[in-house]
Amino acid sequence: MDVLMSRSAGRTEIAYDVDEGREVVLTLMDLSPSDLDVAVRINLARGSRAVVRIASVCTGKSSKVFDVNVRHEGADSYSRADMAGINQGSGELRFLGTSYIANGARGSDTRQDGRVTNLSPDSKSEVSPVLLINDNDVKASHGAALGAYDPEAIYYMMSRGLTEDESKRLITIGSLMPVVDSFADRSLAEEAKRLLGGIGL
Amino acid sequence: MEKLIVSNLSAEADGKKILNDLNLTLSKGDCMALLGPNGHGKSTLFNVLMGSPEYTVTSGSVTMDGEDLLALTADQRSRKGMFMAFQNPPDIPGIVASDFFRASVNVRRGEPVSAYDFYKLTEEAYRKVGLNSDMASRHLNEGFSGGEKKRDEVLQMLLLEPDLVFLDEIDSGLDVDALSQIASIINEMRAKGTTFVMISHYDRLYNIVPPNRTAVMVDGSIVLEGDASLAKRVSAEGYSFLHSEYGINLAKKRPIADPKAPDILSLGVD
Ligand SMILES: Nc1ncnc2c1ncn2[C@@H]1O[C@H](COP(=O)(O)OP(=O)(O)O)[C@@H](O)[C@H]1O
Ligand SMILES: [Mg+2]
Repeated sequence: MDVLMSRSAGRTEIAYDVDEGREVVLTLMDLSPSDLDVAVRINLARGSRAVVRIASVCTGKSSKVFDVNVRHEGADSYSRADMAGINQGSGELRFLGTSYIANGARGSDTRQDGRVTNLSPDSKSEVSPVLLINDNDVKASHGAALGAYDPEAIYYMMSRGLTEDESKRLITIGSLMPVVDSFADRSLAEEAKRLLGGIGL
Repeated sequence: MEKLIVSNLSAEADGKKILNDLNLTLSKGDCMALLGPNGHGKSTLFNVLMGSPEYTVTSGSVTMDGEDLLALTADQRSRKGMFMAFQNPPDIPGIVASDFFRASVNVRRGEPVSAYDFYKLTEEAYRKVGLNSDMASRHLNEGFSGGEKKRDEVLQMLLLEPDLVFLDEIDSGLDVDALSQIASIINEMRAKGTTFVMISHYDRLYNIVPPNRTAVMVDGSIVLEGDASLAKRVSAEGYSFLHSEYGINLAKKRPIADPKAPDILSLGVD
């Protein structure tokens, strides 16, 4: 499922029960200029799969929370959750994720990744992946990163003639592009690119 | 660029002095070999001239044809025709190489380059540096081998057509064939009047791109200048003759480990 949020506000809940052997792919991009609370709940039966990709741009004073909760109920289930964000203003961007592996869900494999680039010293961001493991013989890992622009990258780009702002803009858009590229719906991907280009980062 | 004049330049990073009262003049068409023991400030000089924000100039001046270069940002210097091939080009994930190249070509043109012209330009450049043009769709430098990164730097030099070029160990990690491809590109650009400064420890580069001048850097200053034979001699013999024949002390005055340690008169180079 592809989701592009450009004017959303408030709470959104997306829930799936994935049946045995089935797969759900959720790609969500959020460019809304408002407060947001997005909860994704996925229950995985035996041998099922979930791939969740989220990208968010947080502007102004907005407060945004993305909470991805994946429950591995059945054995040999698989999940990936990857969240990338840009926090531009003095607002708050939080990526929370919980992977729960139930007793009996052996052979399951889960990974969560979250990264936020803070563009302002006032940006408040949080990336907290949580793994709750109740069986043996599973694979579970996570990665979390909070950062500002890599000054070496900016300098490299500027040394080829791009202004500092243009360099930052390309890096910002670049960090969200993998999410745009994974939209199954090409017209939505084009629309997301257009909105990203016009967001004036 | 007709003349670049570096006068009494001192610069530091993290409170550590790296360039010390350095003087250097480049004239249009020069091809200078810049040598010096490891860690004595060669790359720093390039980076300060290119406008890296990592370094603070504490005194001295740099002018290009009379204009104060130090007042310009790195991108302004690039658009004035300067180019530095990085010793270690950084990986930039998320940015597709061809998008970046197009942007960097466009900033120096009145009209954006047409899709067809850009295609022809890049195909030709990829062919010249011996890289597959499929690499244009990859992310900038990401997952490139050392040699591929070096070729990719030369590729960008071709696309941007600078007239003052700093090559920082462009030959390291290149095999013999790659080196001769790169050398013929440099020689072609020289023939058109492009000015080069090349940092390299090896005379295999200087043999195929013969410099007209050599400068040797020790402890953040240019301590000796000469013609091509000086570069040859350093490549063959190392730096100890600087001390025995010219009385140049090869130890850095301010060792990094202990700034309060006394000056050491030694020939040890790091
Ligand atoms: N950004 C920096 N911060 C702190 N020290 C630096 C920095 N850049 C270079 N240096 C130090 O300055 C000295 C000269 O480095 P460099 O210019 O890279 O030498 P070279 O290119 O001649 O080998 C080294 O001791 C190096 O560790
Ligand atoms: Mg160096």
